Amino acid sequence: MIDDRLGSPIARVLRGGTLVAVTVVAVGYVLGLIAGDDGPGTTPMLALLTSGGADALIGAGLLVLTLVPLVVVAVAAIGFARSAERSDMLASLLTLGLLVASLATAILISAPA
Amino acid sequence: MPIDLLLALSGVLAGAFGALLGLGGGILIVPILTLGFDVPLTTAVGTSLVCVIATSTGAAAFNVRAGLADVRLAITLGAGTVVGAMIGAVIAGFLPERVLAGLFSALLVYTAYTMVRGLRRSASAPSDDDQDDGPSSPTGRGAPSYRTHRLALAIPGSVLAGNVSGLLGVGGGIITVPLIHLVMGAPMRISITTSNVMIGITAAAGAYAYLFRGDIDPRLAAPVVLGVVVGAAFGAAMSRRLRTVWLVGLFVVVVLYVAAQMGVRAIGGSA
Repeated sequence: MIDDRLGSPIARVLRGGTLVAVTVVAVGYVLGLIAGDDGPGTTPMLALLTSGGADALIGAGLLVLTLVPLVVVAVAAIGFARSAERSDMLASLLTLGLLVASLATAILISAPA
Repeated sequence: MPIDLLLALSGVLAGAFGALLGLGGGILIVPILTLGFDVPLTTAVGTSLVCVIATSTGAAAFNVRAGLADVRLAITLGAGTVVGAMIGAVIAGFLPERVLAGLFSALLVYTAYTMVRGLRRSASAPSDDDQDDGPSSPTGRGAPSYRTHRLALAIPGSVLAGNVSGLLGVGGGIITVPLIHLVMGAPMRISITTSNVMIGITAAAGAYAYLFRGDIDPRLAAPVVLGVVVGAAFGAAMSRRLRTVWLVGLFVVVVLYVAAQMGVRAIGGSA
């Protein structure tokens, strides 16, 4: 079902993405503890990212974490395209398109008018 | 700081149970945050979805590398779960908290029932899965020979699983594992590892809405996510050393207790 040519890059994305995301969240969290405040509470992502400081770092880490599955599907689509596996490539592109649509919709709805 | 420590420990617990039992961990994170820390349900669900992604990506990295997960199937069914998760995440923003609590309580009872039934089945007859799914790639040498079928039936099921995930902040594995195993005919272990890949994709689709709508508190989410990552690694390391029957028994007791608490909250009590 899956060969090394596809499994290895996907595993690398999964491992690397998780590591980067968790590291960024951890750094932001420690900086927040050092700052000693309570943080902004529930905040939309766009406002959080532009707020700067510890909470922006935590927000960025959480965002990177949620983007890992999207990148995985993109890598799979590329792998299927290279090996000319048409039906799997189409399924990957459909899933990727839906994930991108989900992300775009979330950004558009939350963006200030 | 003590509250942060408790949040991190809750994440460790949820991550460990999630990894040990093949669940995303959201089934525990949502009730822990709402009942234990008085966090609003939508915030708990959003936080849980991010944690589900963390447990999924961590475990999937190993399973995909080892050739234990059917990535093609995960991505194909992922289209259905993503649609369901998008719908669920939008609906969750409009549903009253009591309704969400009631739905979550019902999901917990179903989860407990499914786990007890699985234990009974494995106790009454040796599973043929054990012969099917060795530690090798689905197409590698010595790999299980299986063909999945009934994709047309599985797609609506995956939409339902995604809907439950987006609505209630769980991975949806409690639906996708039986779907892949019982409906599509894949071996149990392949079903669990494939579902694990799927729940990350599904949870991401739901998490975007919660993240950008502002339903996640970064200072609350950070210790829980970090705890979940540690717990999931611990759980994965311990998974072959613990007796499943005791683990599932403990889990079922906890889940039923939490279901009762969530049920009381749904009815309007002070649990």
